[in-house]
Amino acid sequence: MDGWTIFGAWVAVGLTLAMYSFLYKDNPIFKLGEHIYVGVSVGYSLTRIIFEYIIKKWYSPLLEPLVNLIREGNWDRLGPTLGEMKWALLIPTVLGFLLLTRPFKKISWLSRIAFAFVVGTGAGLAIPKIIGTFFLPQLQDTVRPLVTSLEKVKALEAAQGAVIPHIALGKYAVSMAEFNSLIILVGVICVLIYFFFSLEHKGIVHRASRVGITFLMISFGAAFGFTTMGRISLLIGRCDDLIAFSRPEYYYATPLLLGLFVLVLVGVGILRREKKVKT
Amino acid sequence: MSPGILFYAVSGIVFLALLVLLFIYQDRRFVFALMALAVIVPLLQPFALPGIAVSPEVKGLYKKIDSMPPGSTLLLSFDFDPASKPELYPMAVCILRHAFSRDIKVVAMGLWLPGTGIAEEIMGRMAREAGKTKWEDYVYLGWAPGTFNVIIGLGQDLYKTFPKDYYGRDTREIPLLKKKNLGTLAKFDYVVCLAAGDPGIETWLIYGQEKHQFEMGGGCTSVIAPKMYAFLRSGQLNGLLGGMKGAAEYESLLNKPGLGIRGMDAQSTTHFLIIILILISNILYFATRKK
Repeated sequence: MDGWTIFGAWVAVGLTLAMYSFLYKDNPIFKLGEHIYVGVSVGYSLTRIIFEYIIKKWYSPLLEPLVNLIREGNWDRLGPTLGEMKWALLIPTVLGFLLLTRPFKKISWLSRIAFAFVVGTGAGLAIPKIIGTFFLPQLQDTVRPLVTSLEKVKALEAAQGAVIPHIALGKYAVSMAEFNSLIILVGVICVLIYFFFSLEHKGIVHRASRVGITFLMISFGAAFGFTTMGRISLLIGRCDDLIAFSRPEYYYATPLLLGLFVLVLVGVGILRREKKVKT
Repeated sequence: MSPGILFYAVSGIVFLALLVLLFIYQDRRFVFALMALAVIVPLLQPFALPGIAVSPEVKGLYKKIDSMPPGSTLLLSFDFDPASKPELYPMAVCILRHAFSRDIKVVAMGLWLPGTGIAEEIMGRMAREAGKTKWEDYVYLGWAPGTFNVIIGLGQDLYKTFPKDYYGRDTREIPLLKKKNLGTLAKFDYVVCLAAGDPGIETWLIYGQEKHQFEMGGGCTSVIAPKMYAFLRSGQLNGLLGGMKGAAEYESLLNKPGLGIRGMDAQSTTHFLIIILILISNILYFATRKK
C-alpha cells in the first residue's frame, strides 16, 4: 500500500472522529475539523469553477487565440485568429458583468437585464419539460382502468418474476396493481380537497379532507422512515471505514487517533474546569 | 463459549448498561453511544440474518441489464458526492460489475463536481476487476459545467458537450465512441443515473428522457427514494435502487456480497433500537403525564 493511501486513511479517520466528537460536546477538535471542511470544500469548488468555467468555457475559446498571437507577435495571422475567436461568448460576458452592477445603486438596474435573461431562459426551458415529465405522465398514471386483461397480468408477472395477486374474471382480471391505482386515486382526490380552501371544510368535504390528511401523514411517515434509513446508512459507511482503517496495514489509524482525541478532550475538560474555578 | 457468542454477550451487557444509564441520567449522549454500539457490533460480528427479499423495482433494473446483449451501450451518470458514498458507491459497484460481466460497453459521466474523483476510482477499480480496457470497453467523460445544460447538450452532440474525456483525450478520437457512433443520448441502449439529489434522476427525466424517450433506471439515496417511486409506477423509470437496501438487494442478485449486504444487519439493529426508544419514550411520557 502506498504512502498516500495510508495518509488519506489517517486524514479520513481524523476528520470523521473530529466531526463525531461534537456528539460529546463542542470542542476544539470538532472546530478544527469543521474549519478544514469549509476551507477545503470552498477552495476545491472555487478552483474547479475557475478552471472548468472561466478558463475552459470562456478564456480558452474567446481570448486564448488572441493572447497567443500577442505572445508570438505574428501579426500576419491576425485575420485567422479573429476568425478563431468565439465572439458569441461576448453576449454572456456582458450579461455576467451586468450582474456585477448590483452593489452600485445608480446602475444596479442594469442587472435586471441579465436576471430577465436567466429567468426567461430557465422558465422557457423548464416549464414545458416539467409539464411533459411530471404533470402529464403522473396524471395519466393516476387514472388507470380498474379492470385489466388477464393476459396483461400474466405478462407483468413474467416481467417482474413475481406472483401478482389477482381475481380472474374470464378474459379480464382485477389485480393488486389496479387496487393500488384505486388507493392512489382516492388519495390524490382527498389530498387535493384538503388543500381546497374556497369551501368551508364541513360535511362530506370535511370527511374527504380528513382522509386526505391521513394520506399526507402516511406519506410523511414513509419519507421520515426513508430519511432515517438514509442517515443510518451514512453512519454505517463511516463506521465501516473506521473499522477498515483500524487494521495493521493502515498502522492502526482508528484506535490511535481515537485514543489521542480522548486524551485531548480530557485535557481540554481539565483546563476548562480550572479556568472556571479561577473565575 | 465461542468468541462470537462471548462478543455478543459482552455487547449485550454494555447495551443494557447504556440503556439503564440513559434512564438514570436522561442524557442524549447515551442514545448516541447506543446507536454507535448498534452499528459497530453487527459490522464487527455479522448476525447473518435471513436472506434479503428482492423488491420488483430492483429486479427491474437487474433484468434490464441482464437482458442487454453483449456490446450494448450503457450511460452511467454519477450524480453524487463522497457524502453519499455509503449508499451509492455499492450500487455503482454492482451495476458496473453486472454490466462488465455481460460485456456491456459503459460510458460514465457526472453532474456533481465533487463526485468526479470517486466516480473515476469506481470505474477504474471495476474495469481492472473485469479486465476491461479504457476507451475500448469503457469511457469516463468526467464532469462538465452546466447541470441540466449538459443533458440538453448531450441530446444534441456528445462531442461538443464533452470535447475531452476525464483523462484529457479528445472524445472524437475515442475508439468506443467512434465504433458505436455514440454522438447523442438517443444512441445509448440504457441510461442509469445514480443520484443523491439535484441534479439527478429528475433532471435526467426532464431534460433527457422527455425528449429522447430512452429507457432509464435509477439509484438514489433513501432520502429522495420516496419521490422516485412515482416515476417507477408511471414507467418513466424501469428500475430503482433505493438507498443501501437497494444496493444490498442487487448484491444478493449478483451473489457478490459487499457493503450493502454487510450494512443490512446494522440497519436492522439500529431500526430495532429506534423502535425500542420510541416505545419506551412514549410509555414514559404517558406514565409521567398521568402523575
